[in-house]
Amino acid sequence: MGVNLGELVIRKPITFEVLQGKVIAIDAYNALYQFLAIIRQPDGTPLMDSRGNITSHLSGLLYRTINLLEKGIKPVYVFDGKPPEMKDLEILRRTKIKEEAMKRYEEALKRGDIVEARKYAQRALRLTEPMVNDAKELLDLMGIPWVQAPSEGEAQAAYITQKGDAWATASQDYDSLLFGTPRLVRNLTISGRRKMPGKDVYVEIKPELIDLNESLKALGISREQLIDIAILLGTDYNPDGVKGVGPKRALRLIKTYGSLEKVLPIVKGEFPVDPLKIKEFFLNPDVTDNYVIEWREPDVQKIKEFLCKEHDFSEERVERAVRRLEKAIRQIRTQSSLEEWF
Amino acid sequence: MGLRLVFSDAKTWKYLVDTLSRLIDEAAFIAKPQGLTLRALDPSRIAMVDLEIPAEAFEEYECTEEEVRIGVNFDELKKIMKRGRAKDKFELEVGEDKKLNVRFKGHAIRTFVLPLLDLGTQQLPTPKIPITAHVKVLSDAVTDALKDAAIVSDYVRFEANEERFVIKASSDRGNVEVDFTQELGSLIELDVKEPAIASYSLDYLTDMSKTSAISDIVTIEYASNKPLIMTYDLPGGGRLTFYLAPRME
Repeated sequence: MGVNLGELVIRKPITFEVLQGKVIAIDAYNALYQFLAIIRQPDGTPLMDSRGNITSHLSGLLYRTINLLEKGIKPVYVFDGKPPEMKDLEILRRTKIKEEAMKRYEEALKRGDIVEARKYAQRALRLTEPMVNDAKELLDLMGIPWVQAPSEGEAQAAYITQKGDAWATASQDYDSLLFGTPRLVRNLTISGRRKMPGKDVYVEIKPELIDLNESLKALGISREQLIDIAILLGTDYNPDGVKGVGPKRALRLIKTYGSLEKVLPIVKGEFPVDPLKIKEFFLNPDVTDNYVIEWREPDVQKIKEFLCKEHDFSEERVERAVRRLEKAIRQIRTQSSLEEWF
Repeated sequence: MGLRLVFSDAKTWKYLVDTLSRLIDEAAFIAKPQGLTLRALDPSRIAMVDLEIPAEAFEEYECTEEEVRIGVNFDELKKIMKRGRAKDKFELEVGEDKKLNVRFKGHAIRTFVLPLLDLGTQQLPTPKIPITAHVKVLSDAVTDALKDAAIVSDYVRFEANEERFVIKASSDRGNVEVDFTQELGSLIELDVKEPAIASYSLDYLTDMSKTSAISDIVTIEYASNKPLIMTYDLPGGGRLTFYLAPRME
């Protein structure tokens, strides 16, 4: 998923201290998918309540958000809206992959092959509308702001960051850079000790920062040209990109000829949609100014009802989490910045 | 040859660097012929440190250039300063090689060499604060009051009027009140034009108050719901000032 720009941009490891006091626009779908993938039982079964509703994403949202707040980070979640039509093909492709993975997951479970089952369970995960609605409800109760994007969440997050309402966008994918976010933070919601997929190996995952201008300067290109490169490599709207063109060649082509328009006749790629339409979308995506970013007092009683009564979370653990949440939000709501007096 | 500073004892610098390292990660000392300064914001931009030591406060002070910037990582510098003994003579030197030499002279001459960090030349402004309360107190008494407050809360209220200066803390765990009085000696000066009430984070205040190890008296200046200015005079001359943004309760 997303564009693979990891080899081209400058990724700098950072500490959470760098993010202290800063508003971070988090790609909500991306974060929720991460929670769904990570928070699972050993055989790959997600956390579920007694009625069979998946709750892995809610668990992640609760505890990870509190962790961020306690580090002085001010999160705002940005949810995807209606994807642009040109994404249809990619969505269909993903659905197929997931259906296939689901089949294999069930077969592996029958065989009792837990390692395989876990692998396919992660691939088969889907974020359904009721799950997203649960996530939004939980955020409301926690007092954490979220923004509904008209179209792509990463485009909206990039817009919020460009406007200065957030300091950075957080996502595992690089697309928000194409949408123009000045800063992208990766690994924000998954940092910590993590098991490598399919292996019994643990790695320490640390957040990293990508500064768009710094990366563009180092590559000697403009944002438009970065979009051009991405389209050659493959984006959500043309997943296959151009055959035989990898990051280094794409960079060289765009730098040599200047733009996608000039490179297209040379590379003879096949595109499911007009590549210039893709470029136009990255440059001018549908975004909105209709949002409020504000951290409110959490509704402790309702969080308990929602998580413990409706979704069978442990009362003891939620009680502890809610206490931490109250304290952290209070700090964020009341502490001013010295810059206000500069 | 750019800069050479000799300080008569390493102790002051040990505590100075220790305190600074609690609030800032990286910052640049700026040495000019008239003295040494450092101004830096903490990463969350809630607090700022402002250090000023005149050339006269040093045993020797040679700065042949108009300005020498000494960019350091305070965690690294702190590790080195920990190796200094209280009675060691302490030297800072920046030569042609653009490296920082940190030297202790005791029973042996111990030299540590650090690369200088290039931290840019951005100047931080002085926060504009319409001060209405000016209080001078024993710094140990403030440190004690903060420790008292930490038992019940993670922030404190500073209350000053014409008659008294009080540090208060309260939560559902209980209340703490520390009254500074002239009679008992903790309050040295009180000049209040307008009563001032403001809340500040204990985390930051506690870090700042570590300076009491090398300075007996602290000057506190603030106004209602405005930043706090806390100034410690340093032994031998110079001062360390902290600015702290309030909590808006």
